[in-house]
Amino acid sequence: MTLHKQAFSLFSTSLLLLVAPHLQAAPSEAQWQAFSKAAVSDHIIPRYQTLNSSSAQLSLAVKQLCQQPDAASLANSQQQFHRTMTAWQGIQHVQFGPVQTLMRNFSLQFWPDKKNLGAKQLNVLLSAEDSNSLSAERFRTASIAVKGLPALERLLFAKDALSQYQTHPFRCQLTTTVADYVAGMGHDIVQEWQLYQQEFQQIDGNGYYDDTTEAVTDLLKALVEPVEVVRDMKILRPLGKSAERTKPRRSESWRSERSIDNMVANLEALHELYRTGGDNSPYNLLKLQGASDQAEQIELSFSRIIAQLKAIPMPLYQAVKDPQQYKQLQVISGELKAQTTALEGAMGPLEIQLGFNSRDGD
Amino acid sequence: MTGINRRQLLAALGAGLLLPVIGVQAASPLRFASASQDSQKQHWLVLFDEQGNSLLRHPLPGRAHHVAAHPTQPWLMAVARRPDRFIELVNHQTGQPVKRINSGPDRHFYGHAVFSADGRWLVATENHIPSGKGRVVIRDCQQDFAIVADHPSYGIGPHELAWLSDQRTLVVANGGIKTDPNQGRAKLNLDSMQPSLAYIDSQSGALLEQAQLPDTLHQCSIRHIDVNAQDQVAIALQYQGELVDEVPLIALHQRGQAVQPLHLPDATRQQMKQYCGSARFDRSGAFFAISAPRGNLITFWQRDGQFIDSIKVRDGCGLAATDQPGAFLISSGNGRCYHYNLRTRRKTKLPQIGMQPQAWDNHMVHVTA
Repeated sequence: MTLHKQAFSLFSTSLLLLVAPHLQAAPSEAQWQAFSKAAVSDHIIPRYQTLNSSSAQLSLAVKQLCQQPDAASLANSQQQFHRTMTAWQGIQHVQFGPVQTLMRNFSLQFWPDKKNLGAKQLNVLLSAEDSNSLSAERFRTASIAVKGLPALERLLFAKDALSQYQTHPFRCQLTTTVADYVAGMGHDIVQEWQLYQQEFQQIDGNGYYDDTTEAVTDLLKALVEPVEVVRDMKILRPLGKSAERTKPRRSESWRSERSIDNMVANLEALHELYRTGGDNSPYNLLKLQGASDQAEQIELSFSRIIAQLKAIPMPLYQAVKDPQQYKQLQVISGELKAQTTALEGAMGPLEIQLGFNSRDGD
Repeated sequence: MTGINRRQLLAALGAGLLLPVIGVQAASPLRFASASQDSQKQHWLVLFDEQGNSLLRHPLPGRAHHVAAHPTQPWLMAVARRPDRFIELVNHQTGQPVKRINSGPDRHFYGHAVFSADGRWLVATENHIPSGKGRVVIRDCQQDFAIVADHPSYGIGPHELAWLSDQRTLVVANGGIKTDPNQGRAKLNLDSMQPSLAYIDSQSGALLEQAQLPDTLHQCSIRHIDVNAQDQVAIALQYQGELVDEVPLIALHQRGQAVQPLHLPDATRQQMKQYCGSARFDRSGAFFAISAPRGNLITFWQRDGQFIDSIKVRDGCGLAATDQPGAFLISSGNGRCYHYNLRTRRKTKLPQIGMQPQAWDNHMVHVTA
C-alpha cells in the first residue's frame, strides 16, 4: 500500500466515524413530520374517500334493487358490496381518529362474530317486520352486529336472496337501512378527517398528540399490528387445530367468497403505507438508518405474501379443506409471522416504541 | 412549559433567591421507583427524582412488575412478572444487592408483593404450579426472607395484594385466570374464570370475606387494587370478553358490602379497550386514579365512586401518589413521566430520566424513606 493510499484509507476511516453516528441516529423530526403528513393526505384520506364513494354507490344500488328486484339489480348490489368491502378492508388498519368515534369501526364490520349475534339480531328484526325499528333514531340504538357490512352480506348473499327480496318488502327496507347506515358512516368519517388531519399537520403540543413521535407511533402501529391480526384471525382461526379439524365458517366474508380478497386488500394497504411518503416513507427511513437489508426484506415479503394469497385458486372456506391448500395456508401463516417479526424489528432502528404496557401488560 | 424545564428555571432564578420568598425549607425533590426496559430489552429497577435525575439503575434478571420501598430499610424491591421466579431487593443508598429471592421450581410470582408497615414481613402472591392454585406467601425480612407462612389465596391467578388499616388483614385480587408456565402466558380458563377479592387473615390464613362481581361479569378479571385509610378498595378490571361488550372496568369495594361497579361515560369506557393497568389512591385517600394504557387514558375518581375526569397519556400505566393530596405521578411505556394535579387540572411532563428513554413498566411507587 502506498503512503497516499494509506493516508486516504485513514482519512476515509475517520470520515466514517464522523458520519456513522449521523447515519444511525433516529429519523429527524422533519422526516417524521413529512411522513406523517403524507400518510394522512396520500394514504388515509384517499382510502376513506374510496370507502365513502363506494358505500354511497352501494346504498344507491340497494334502492334500485328494492324498486326492481331482479337478477341484474341483485348482481349490481352484490358487486357494489364487493367494492365497499374492498374499500373497508383497505383502510381497516387505521384504528384511530374518527373511525373510533361511536364505535364506527365495530359497526362497519362486527367480526369475528363468535356468538353469532349478527344472525340472531337480524332474525329478530326480520321476524318482527316492524318498520319503526328502522327509523333513524331506533336503528342507531340497534346492535352493532346488524349495522354494517356482515349484515348486508347475509342479506345480499343469502342463497334465496332474490326470491326473498321479491316476496318480502321488509327485507328490502332493512337492507336499505343498513346500506344507508354504512354510507352515512363512510360520509361522516371523511368529513371528520377534514378537521382531524390537523392533528397530523400541526403538532405543537396543544392537539391530540404531544409530539410528532406520538402521531408517528399511531401510524406505525397501523402498519405493524394488522399483519398479526390477518394471520391470527383470518388464517389461523379457519385453519383450526389440525387439517382434520378445520373451521371453514370462521373465514371472514365466506358468504360472498371474498375471504382471500379481504386479506389481499389488507396487505396491499399495509404495503402502500410502508412506501408512503417517498424519501420519508418507513421503507426509505429504514434504509437511511443503515438497515437496507431489513427494509428490502419487508418490501419483498409484502409482495410475496400478496402473490401467494392471490395464487390460492378457491375460496378460503374450500381451501382449508383441501390438503394442498391447507399446507399452502400454513406457509402463508409462517410468512406473516416472519413479517410481523421483521416489522417489529424495524422499530428498533426507527427508534419507535409501539407500546409497552398497552401491548404486553399484565 | 416550553424550552426551559423546571430544573433550568430553578438554576436560572437561583434556588437561594427563590426559597425565602415562598418561605419553605429547601425540600428535596420527590423520588419514585419503577421497573423499566431499555431499547436493548434489558430490564432495570430505577430510582429517580422528579427533576429527571436517575439515582439508581439496578439490572434485573428479567421483566419486573411491581416495585416497593421497604418502610424502614433503604431497600427497593422489584417483583418478577409472571411466570418469572425472582424478587430482587437492592439497597438504594449503596446500590448493593440485598437479596434475590427465588420462588422455587414449583412456584412462580405474579408480579406483586408488599412489605408490612413495620417492615418485618414480605408478602407475595404466587402460583403453585402443580395445582394451579393461588398462594399468599409470607417471608421474614429479618430471617433472610425465610418463608413463615404459606396461605391459600382462595382463587386462581392472584395478582395485586394490599394491607388493610389493621395491618393484619390482607386483601388479595384473585384475577381468576389460569396460566401454566409450560404454556407461556396463555390464558387457559377464560370460559370458567371466577375472579374475586379475598380478605385473608395474615396470621391464620383464614378467609374472612370473599367478594365477587355478578356471574354475568365473571370475565372481568380483578387484577389491580389499592386501599385507602378507610379500607375502601379501588379495583382496576381487565375484561377478557369482546371489545364491544358493555362491562364495568372500575369498581370499589368495602368489606361487608357488594362490589360497586363504577359508571363512566360511554365514550371514555369504549376508549379504554376493556383494560385497566393500575389503581392508586392519592395521599389523602379521597381520590384515586385508574390507568388504561390501551386507551392511552388515565381516569380520576372520588372515593365515593364519582368519575371526575380523564386525561390522555400515551401508553400510560404506572401511577403513584405524591406528597400532595389530589396529585399523582404517571409513567408511560414510551419513557415519559407526568405530574397531574386534580386541583389545577394541569399535566406537567418531567424531564427525561437518565440518558436515553426507557419504557416504564406497569407500576410505580413514591419512595419517601
